[in-house]
Amino acid sequence: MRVRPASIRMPAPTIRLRLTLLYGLVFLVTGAVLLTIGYELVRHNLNGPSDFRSELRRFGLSSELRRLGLTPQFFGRPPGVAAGSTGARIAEAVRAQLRADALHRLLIEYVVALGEMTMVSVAAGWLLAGRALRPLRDITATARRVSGENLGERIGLKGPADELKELADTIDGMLARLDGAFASQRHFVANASHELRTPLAIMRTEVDVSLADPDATVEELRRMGEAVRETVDRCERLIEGLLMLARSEAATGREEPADLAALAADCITDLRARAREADVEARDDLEPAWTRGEPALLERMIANLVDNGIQHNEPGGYLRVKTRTVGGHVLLTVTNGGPVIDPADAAKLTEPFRRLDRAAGGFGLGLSIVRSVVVAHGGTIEIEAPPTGGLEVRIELPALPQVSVTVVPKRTARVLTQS
Amino acid sequence: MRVLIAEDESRLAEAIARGLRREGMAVDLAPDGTDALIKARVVRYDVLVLDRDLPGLHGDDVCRAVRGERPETGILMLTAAGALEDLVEGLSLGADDYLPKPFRFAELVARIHALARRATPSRPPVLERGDIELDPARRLVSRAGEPVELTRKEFGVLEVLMDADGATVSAEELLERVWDEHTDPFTNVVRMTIMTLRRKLGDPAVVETVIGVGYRMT
Repeated sequence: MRVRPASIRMPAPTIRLRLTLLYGLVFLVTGAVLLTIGYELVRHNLNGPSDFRSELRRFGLSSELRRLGLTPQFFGRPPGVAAGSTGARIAEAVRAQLRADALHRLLIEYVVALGEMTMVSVAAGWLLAGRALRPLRDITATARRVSGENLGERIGLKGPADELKELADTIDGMLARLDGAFASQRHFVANASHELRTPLAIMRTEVDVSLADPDATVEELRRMGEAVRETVDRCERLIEGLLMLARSEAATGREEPADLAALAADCITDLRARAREADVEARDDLEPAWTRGEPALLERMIANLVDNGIQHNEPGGYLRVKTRTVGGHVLLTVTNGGPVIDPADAAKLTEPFRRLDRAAGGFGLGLSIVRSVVVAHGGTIEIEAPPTGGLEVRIELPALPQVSVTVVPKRTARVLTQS
Repeated sequence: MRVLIAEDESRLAEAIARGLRREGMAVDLAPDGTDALIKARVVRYDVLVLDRDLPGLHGDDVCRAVRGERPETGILMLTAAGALEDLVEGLSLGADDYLPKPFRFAELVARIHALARRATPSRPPVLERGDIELDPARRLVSRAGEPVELTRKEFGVLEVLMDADGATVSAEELLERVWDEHTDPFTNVVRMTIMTLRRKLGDPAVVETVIGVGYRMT
């Protein structure tokens, strides 16, 4: 039977381990270089007595020594020993032996010291790397805890504004944005579910109640059918709105130059009868505003704004549509009169299913569609509720570069319902 | 049995009311939360069918208030959200039952009956007194085993009287529990209904008049 040796578990190549090894290696290399230089200097100096004399001369000490009766040869060779004599040779051999012994001892001591200090530096490196990486572990732990259901947690790293703090703050910012996106997603699903289930409940109840009555008359059944048809219409409008919202968010298939002024003029003409019926005075103030985009979506955007402006108005109120080209942008402003709206509510009107008055009908998708069309075309939207009542929506889109100046507006300022 | 439907979708509310009336219930409607709370305070409803997402006062607040002030009224919450969390939340607010939209109408009726029975815990599913049997859920009445055909109002009056177990029930209480809010309080509709009820139940007479007070079962 073969016995496998107990496998030694290799530590995972973590950053901590790699940093530690790097610290140790750098210390080992620099230490080795330093000690080699030291060793070489010592060896060189021990081996060069003649140099010693020249050193003395260099420092201007030779004359001093001579005055003291010490000849430079004093350092080189024992006095009274003639050069080349047997004594001199023995002395030279002893000195060479002493030198070699000293260098050998030095070498061993250096190597042992280098080994010990490398181990100390590896241990210190391990501790230092652990300390430096601790915030990173906190960040990882928090990021792991956070999930789609629980996006409320933040890392909130304390400490100096260093790279790790920057990373933690960046992740916190990302979590905040994710949290917002998930919340609005949940809100959307809950609202869409509510809006879709309610008509289903109406139809189901109408049908159940009518069919459960064995004596139901033709009139009753007919009334039930009409109620169901009306509710189906409502479902259709809702689904159309949802699809339009999805389409505008998925953004533009075919883009082509479009003039907001022309689209707005067409739209106002279409809705003129409705404006007159609602006793709303519709004015336009249109100058060419060429942008680039999907005409169907841009048209829907303007139609929704004008439609809103008429519907949420008051008898005798006004609706004004203005287009301009300013610098590299085109501006579309739709202003309408009506009841005073809380500015805080006005800011939320672009959220899907947001309605100021549930009884007024509609699903609260109109301005959401407007916003996603604007965003898809790289523009911005501002909604403001003036203290005098009504609503002002300002849309800014990138202008079409190199507008041909020959395009002359067919329509200029005019009053529609007063004609 | 008297039921209040608090639902802002008028079409749905009317359809439910039509169906429940045919089941012999007296049904009132409230289009928003504030109206629902006022009505639930004034009238002793057996069951409140409460849409959770009401304008005015939110359904949750109506539920809490009614639960506090009218413990005997059974509350059935309707919601279009339909997630499990909503169910748990709704029940924790004091609702007795919870039904997600869309629902089958028969299920709504069955749950309303169950709630009404729960409101008077000792009450058996089928009421019996002498040789008369009354099954509120199936809307069946029989005397000595023979079925008796009753109108909705006659059935409702008999149910209240049998439920009182021999105690005297005033005409006002009958009016409140069997008829809805559109009934003229000075009408003699209760007297007329008692008369036809007596006739249909046959001899020996089981409903007697306590002069100046009301009616009771012998």
